[in-house]
Amino acid sequence: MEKENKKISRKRQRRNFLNRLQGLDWVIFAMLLVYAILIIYPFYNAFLISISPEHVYLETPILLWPKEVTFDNYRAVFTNKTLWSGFGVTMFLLLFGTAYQLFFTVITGYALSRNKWIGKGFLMNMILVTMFFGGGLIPYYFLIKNLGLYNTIWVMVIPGAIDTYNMLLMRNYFASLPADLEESAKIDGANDIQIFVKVYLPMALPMLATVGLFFAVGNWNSWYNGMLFIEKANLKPLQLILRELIATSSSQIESPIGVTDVYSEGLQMACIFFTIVPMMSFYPFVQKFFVKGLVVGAIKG
Amino acid sequence: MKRKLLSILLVLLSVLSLVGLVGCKNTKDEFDEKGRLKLNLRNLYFNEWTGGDAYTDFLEEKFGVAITPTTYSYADWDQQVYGPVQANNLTDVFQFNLDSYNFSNSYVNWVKGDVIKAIPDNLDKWPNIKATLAKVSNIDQFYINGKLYCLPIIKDLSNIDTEYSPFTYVYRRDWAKELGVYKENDVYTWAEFEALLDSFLKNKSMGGEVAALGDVEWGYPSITNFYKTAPHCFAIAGDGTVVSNYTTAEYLEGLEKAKLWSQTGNKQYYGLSQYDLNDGDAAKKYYAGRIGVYYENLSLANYTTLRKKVGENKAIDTKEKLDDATAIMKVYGPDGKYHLEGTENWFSATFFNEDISNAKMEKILDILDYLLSEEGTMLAIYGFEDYDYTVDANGNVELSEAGWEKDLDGEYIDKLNGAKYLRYMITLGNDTSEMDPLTDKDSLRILNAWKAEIDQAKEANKLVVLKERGDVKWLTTTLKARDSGGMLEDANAKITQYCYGKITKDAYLANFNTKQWQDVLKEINDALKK
Repeated sequence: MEKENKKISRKRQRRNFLNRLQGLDWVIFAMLLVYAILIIYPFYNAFLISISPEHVYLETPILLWPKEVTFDNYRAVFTNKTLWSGFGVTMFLLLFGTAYQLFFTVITGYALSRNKWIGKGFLMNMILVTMFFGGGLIPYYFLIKNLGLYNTIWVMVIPGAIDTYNMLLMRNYFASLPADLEESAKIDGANDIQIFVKVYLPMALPMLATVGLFFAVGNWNSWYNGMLFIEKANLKPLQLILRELIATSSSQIESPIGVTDVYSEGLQMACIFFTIVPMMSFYPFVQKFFVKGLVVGAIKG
Repeated sequence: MKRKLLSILLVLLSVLSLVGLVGCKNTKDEFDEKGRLKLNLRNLYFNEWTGGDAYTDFLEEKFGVAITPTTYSYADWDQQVYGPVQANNLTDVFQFNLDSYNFSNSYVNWVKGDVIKAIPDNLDKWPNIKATLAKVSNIDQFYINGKLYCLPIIKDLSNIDTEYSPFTYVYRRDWAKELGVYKENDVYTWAEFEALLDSFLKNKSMGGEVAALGDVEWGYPSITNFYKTAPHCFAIAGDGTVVSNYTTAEYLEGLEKAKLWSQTGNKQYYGLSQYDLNDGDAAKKYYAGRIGVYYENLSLANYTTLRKKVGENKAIDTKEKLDDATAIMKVYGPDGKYHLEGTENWFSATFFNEDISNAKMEKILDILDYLLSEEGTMLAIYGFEDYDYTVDANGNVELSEAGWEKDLDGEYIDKLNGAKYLRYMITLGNDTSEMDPLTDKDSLRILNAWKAEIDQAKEANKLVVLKERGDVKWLTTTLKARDSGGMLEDANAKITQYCYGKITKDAYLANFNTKQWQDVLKEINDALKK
């Protein structure tokens, strides 16, 4: 009985909504529908190409429905051993790298948001400079080499320990919280670490989620440092392996290597889904923090 | 007090963790824990091979080395080489592209900058390498102050006299037969070639969906090959001076023809807009039966790919149909001769890091010499005798089921064989195509037949090979080395723009009369006078 009532209520709401729509609303509705199709269709087409054999793609690159289904491209992706090792490396970057970067970015942001201490301004300026000026590729290369990071997994973690932009977001957020909180905690006998961990950090959860997501997405997509500094195949991150896989499948270089059984576009599309699905699944869980955190960081400062 | 100490301890721990991580330095020891020489080798063709297979183990055992192979990505090759070169962080052995436009820039500078180490003068200890180097075209150009600083990777050891490239036309013989424009043995005069294209355009265009002619993107407009006198930037004028190839009377005649053809068939290159193509698009259109004649580098790998892709079309269900859909065309130019671009029998080379020890270098040469021997070649192509293959009394090789798996189509499946990959450090293996069970023998047969006919034409003085004059090609001068690659790229863009009516002829010509062109040409001519 209750269920039926709910159903009827929903139907009424829908009818009311449709009745409220006027002429111009329908135009807006149609425009938004077209806009939604424009956004969704490329993903849909990419998915169709990923499950189509090459001859279907060559005959009709723009598909509306699958004409013939094959999972060869996905098979090529999933049976590629190096791809799975890349997946492992990227998962490490995602979990450890994100935690590592978050830790250093948060503590730096917190320290720089606190009251005056000797060298604070200097340190802040030194960090800010890195936002506008870089040493260039060759000095960076030397630095990595001399630190002994070349050809180690740490080359994709340590250089990104503090991201200036995200550190500033954190610093501004901490600075925007009332200083009275710190004073009252001190009166209650808390030390600096306790104040940070028990008072400020819980209040910064939306910001942590936001910055954490930035780091996670960055780590998931990272390939450049790997391309420059990693030679060992088992240390290459997923995105780098995908990039190489696609470049090899579409390259026309004079090569002794045999014919690949899959075609580059199909492989590319299968790779796209292989890489975006995990991130897309993760996104909704932190989205509520993400939006809130962005707004908070934007207006305070 | 305790709280302050705790804070200091935490900070110290953080710093120490960083130092600890950074302390994971790469050791550059000469030997591994088993006392074997450690060899770090990097090559574009190593691909998925990372060592650890039985064949690599065998070679490691035989030569007392520990091999660590790493690969380059073609897309990032330049950065992956130049970065370590600048930072002095190269592997023991590396590979780089050495085509004529990179040649002077990289090779000579690396020699001057002590980046690469010379090969030993006396190669008697490595007779197979010595014999191989003797087959490298223009090997003299690699010697600087009497020293050789690389091992050019030879494309084809068995056919060293081939001075022309397989950049040519593949076409739909089945369409030509159907339309009554087929000429015996796929040989076409210039007029017959034009008639065939017109016929394809008229009868096969299907409302603009099928083009009569298409070029691989870097090869457009291929028909200028039948007019021009030099392959790339620099041609020789009547008075012997070096001039821009793109403004000679011969080139401009070909260019006008290309423009006319590009505006034929709905203002497109016989039905195809070369202007809008991305890399690989033209090939895909040929695979899909949307181009009737296609210009491409028909190397064995490329031609095999092309045949395989065309063969996936459901309508092409027999070998005869496939042969007809992928026939190689022979076209006589307006002068009644075949015209093909010249080539060297290498395009990249293997280099030794300047810091490599003599012991390591000698070990690598030992391995390569072995892999070029008959025994080493058999190991690289087939694997272990009596396991992967057996040889009968007549010398025929029989592959074993244990060593060689087959796919559902009955084709042999490629396997990771370190010996094969290591051999790519000195040859691309075209010399072993005949014996390689992975070679598509039909593709090889057709290509060999084409080569035989072109060789006959060469004998009969009916072949023009487009080659840059040696003293110009190998000239190492500052501006030429620095600018010619960019000038070639820019010229190709202007040619395409002109053919599609995007720029006027004056604008086209002005592009080859810039200060850059003038300076480079002056530098070359001055250097040649000396």
